[in-house]
Amino acid sequence: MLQTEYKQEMERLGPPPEVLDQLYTQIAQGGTQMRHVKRIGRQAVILFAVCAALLMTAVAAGPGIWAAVQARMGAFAPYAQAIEGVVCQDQGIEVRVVAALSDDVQGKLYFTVRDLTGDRINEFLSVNGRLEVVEEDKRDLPVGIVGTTNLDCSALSYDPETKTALFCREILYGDGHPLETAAINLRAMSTKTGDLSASVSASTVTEKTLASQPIPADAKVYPERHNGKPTVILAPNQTPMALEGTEDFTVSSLGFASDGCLHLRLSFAPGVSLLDEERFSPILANIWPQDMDLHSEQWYTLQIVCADTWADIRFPLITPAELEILKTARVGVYNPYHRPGVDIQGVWTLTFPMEYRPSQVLAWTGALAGRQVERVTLSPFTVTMDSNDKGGLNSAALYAVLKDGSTVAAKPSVGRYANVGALEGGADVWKTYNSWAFDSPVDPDQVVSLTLLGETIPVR
Amino acid sequence: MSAPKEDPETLARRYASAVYRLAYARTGSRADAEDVMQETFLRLLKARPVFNDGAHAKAWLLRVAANCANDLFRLPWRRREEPLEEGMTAPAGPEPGGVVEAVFSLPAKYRIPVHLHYFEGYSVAEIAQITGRREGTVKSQLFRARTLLREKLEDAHASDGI
Repeated sequence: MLQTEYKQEMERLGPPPEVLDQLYTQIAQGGTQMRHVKRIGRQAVILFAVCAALLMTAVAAGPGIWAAVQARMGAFAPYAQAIEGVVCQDQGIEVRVVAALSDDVQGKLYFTVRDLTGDRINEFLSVNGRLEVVEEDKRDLPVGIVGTTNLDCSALSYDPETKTALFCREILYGDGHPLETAAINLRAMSTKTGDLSASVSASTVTEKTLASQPIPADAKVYPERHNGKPTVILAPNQTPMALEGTEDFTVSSLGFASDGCLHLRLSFAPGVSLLDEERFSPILANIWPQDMDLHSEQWYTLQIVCADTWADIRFPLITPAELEILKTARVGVYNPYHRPGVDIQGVWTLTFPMEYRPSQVLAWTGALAGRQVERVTLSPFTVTMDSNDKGGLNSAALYAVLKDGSTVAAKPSVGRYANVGALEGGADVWKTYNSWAFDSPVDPDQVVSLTLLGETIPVR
Repeated sequence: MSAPKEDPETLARRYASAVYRLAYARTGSRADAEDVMQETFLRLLKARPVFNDGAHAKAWLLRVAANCANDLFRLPWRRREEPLEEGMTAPAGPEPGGVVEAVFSLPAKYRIPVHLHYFEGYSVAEIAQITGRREGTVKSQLFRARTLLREKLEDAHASDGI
């Protein structure tokens, strides 16, 4: 029988044992010894060596942190720059730069903060300092994108086993060039500020009017410009629930108050307080109705009444008429806030080589969907365009078409619109910069064209 | 209960031979089969997919191997030639006039479905999933491949039922 003969003969034609043993050993060693003999294999080896280097660095930082780094990077992980040996200590706190992912348009820098001597830090850790990654560009443009060097950022994640917090700082080079030697200078850290981003389902809301109270005299009221002032708040503890995403705030009551509007009353954990900003609401909130226009004002118009241990959020445009929609909606609350913690002052200075993948400038220039395009660049991560666009490119999706016919989408990223003609008192003359970030990295050598607003930009 | 995550080395020990044989069937070259096998497990290490079970893992690996093997034929410098080291003997090849040699002589697009069906025992539906082809296409390829193999083998042997 054909099948029997084929199987028997193929059984004898398997891989030589020494080839298999070599493969198993290479995999066990993380692939750093992989050989290559073809172009596609060579690229894979380089990418794999990067992954292996990241893995080795991860051993020092802890597997939980590295799972977070790689999960964050996603498909971009093989393109990352593993940074080793860039570490310093002060006040018993270690700061370590671990990885970067960058082209010459934008990038991400990953670093960790670890408590070597105590339990001072946690998931609420924020750092304050400066990041030097970009030098001024020499191009003659009237308005530049601010390539901020402020390093203030909050922890991405925290691993309690290793007492290590992971940070990711996004970088925009704008008109500037990436520095080959970058530097971080930290001066302060704190766990006293939380960043509330939590939500609760509105499905429990019924048409029943919950017990309501007059506003206490010592409460602070943040009225919205329209829709009058709040006159009542919900009485506490009528529908106690957890808020998903935080333990520092809980739902005390959620439902319609005697004023006929939806209210959400929050209770604060001990030591938690809202930021005291006179002009700005101390909490932002909105409702996410399913299948509705999220930009409708109705769902994010609110008024706040708050005291030391609670806040009442009134949605003046949400009444029992919206009850059916609320059954599948969520209420979200946001804002930084104060919480119990520590401040740590110190000096942490690190310099490190910063690699970036340069963009290529396409030969093509010309007309595109009614615009005149002067310059297009392409890197594995981003596309940029200089044109006289007056609007529209900043919200247009872009696609890279590859040699094998597949496409990779890119979403609009930062841009800048400058009417240089009007600035000089003349007719409108727009100098516009737009950029797009790919959903997954591309090999520029494999890109045949870019598609934007239904038109094609040839790459080759 | 979800299937335990298996590390790449375990998956290699279990399925590397299957990957190699598929690549060999497609390329007809041991050197290319080794490269495809290495590339396939490189991609496993890079992608780190989560598998439901062993069958899922094997199907994933074979699909990647099939794609890698097909990619080799799109590269301008496809074939790797290496001189035999002193003391080495040439690796075994297919038997002259045998079934494997006959499969190697088939048009390239038939070889993977033939191998997946006759060696791995996959059904038409499973082959369609692995190769990304329609079931109808796989059926046609297998039918045509069987006809060609029968003709080739009848030239060398008295035929059995197929």
